[in-house]
Amino acid sequence: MRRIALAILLLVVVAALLAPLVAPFDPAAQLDIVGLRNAKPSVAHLLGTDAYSRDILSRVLFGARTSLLVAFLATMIATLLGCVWGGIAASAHGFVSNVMMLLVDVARSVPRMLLFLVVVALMGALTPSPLAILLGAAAWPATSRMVFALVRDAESRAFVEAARSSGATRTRVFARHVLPHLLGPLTASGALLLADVLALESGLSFIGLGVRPPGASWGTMVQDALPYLGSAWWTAAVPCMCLVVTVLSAAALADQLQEKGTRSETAVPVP
Amino acid sequence: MSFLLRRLLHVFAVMAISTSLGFFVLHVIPGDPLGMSTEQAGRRAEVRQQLQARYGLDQPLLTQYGSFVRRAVVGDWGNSLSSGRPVAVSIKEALANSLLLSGTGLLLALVVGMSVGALQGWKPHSMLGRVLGSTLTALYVIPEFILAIALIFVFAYSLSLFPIGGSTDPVLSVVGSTTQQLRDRLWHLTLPAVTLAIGWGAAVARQQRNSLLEIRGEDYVRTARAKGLSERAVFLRHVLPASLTPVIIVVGLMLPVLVGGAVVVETVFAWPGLGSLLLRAINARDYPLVSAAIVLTGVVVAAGSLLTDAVLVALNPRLRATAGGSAAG
Repeated sequence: MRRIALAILLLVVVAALLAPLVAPFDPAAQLDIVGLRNAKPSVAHLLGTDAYSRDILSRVLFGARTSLLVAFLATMIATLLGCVWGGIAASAHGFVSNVMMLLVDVARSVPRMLLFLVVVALMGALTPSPLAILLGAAAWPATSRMVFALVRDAESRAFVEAARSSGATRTRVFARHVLPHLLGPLTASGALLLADVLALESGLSFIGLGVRPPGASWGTMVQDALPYLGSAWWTAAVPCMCLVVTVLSAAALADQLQEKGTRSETAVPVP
Repeated sequence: MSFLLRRLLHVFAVMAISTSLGFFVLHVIPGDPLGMSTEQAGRRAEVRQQLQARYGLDQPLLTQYGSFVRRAVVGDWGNSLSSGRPVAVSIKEALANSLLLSGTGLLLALVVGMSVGALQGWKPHSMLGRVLGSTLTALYVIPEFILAIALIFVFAYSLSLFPIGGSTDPVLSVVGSTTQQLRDRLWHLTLPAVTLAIGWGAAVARQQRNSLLEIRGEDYVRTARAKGLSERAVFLRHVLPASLTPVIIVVGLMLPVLVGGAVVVETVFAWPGLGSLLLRAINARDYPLVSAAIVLTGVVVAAGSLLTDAVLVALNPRLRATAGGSAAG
């Protein structure tokens, strides 16, 4: 299971990286708006063409670049921010810690969809990096809650107490004993976050708030294809399948990592 | 201080900070509510100034914030800048539609999700448990618009059992009898509500299962087994009730979706709810409408959080004795 999921993810990443080399056409080129409108899959166009006569295979490959870039960046941002914030809040104790966690509550109480609507609609369609920052910013409170709980849990463990009593400095205890304790849960939650962000990004692009056209993201491709669901279903099916397969692989990986974590005494709290 | 009073203060602080942040973000980000209407009508500068004065947009930001707070407390939001209709009326119409859709979805999700989660937690390592687990994870992470499109493709396009979108039939909603209208609403409601219920139900079921697994390892469960209780009695009397707390918390965190959380599904199915209203309002920089929505969301989040706490206190007597921190935290 885990190998298959990893293999699929790797394949998608490689396809995204090599998109300019392997894509048979320019993803934005409208090849023949009359003759190739919603053309069925053929030898020339392996996955057919969309309503603007653009080659779907090329668009899917380039779409992978956008979707993955945004998802990876956002996951990194959320994890880093969550670690720093949650780690400091957990180590600080007292007033500072309370205020920091209150702010996490505030951030968490903002429904993500409302946040996206306000920011994206006000700033217009986004390029991938601001979109990634936005998605990462929406996900960090959950991560920092998890890190907070994990650090507090680690601090109450015997191995941390042992390190402290043997005279290790606070920084050393944190870097050598608490941080490794977090790695397993963080990879598991990171994989799930990746799936989650990928789904969110495509959802935003789908309702027209994500990547600016004619840039291809899997979500925008589905949006373009929606009016032709009855007549040219493959234009929607291809990006949908790509999304489903990628998201499922990431989630399966997360599940496996989490199970592994649970078996090795460290329980992974669900964010 | 009692637990609930502490939580009340906490929730109120969260609400005040988040709605104020919402206000400032909205006003600081560039864009002008009068831009569109003045440009379109080719209105002159004086007209623009008059309009700004009329809506209080020429006041300093802090004064505008003051009136935002006053309006939030009184609940009077004046007229929408884009449609000219009272904000309260627009919001009420859309809210009714959103509540109907998301409420049905959430209810379905709860019933199905908790049953499936319990079924899975009963024998987690059996074949059935594993298959259910993978299916739930899949349904949990698949984007809801893809679920929506799949449902539309199968049940609306291919089988023609349900409508492709909309919330009512334009003819029946005027001339139909009450029963006809009711049936028509249900008919339109089915696909979007099921879409929402699948994703949310999977989330509830996963939480229920995780929580059951955690509790199975507790000491008192071992004690119950050691007393000689049957596996069934242990599960129903000791494990299942204790597993509800995290599930209730997750549902409490989900309550805000009742307000505008279903934008994507509303968009796919052309459902005239709060999400789509908000989308239009933001695009038009309709400050009163968006402000009202922000406050409404804040209130619902706070209410959901408090409701969760109240239910938890009712179910768990230990919380009444210890005035500890947030139960939901």
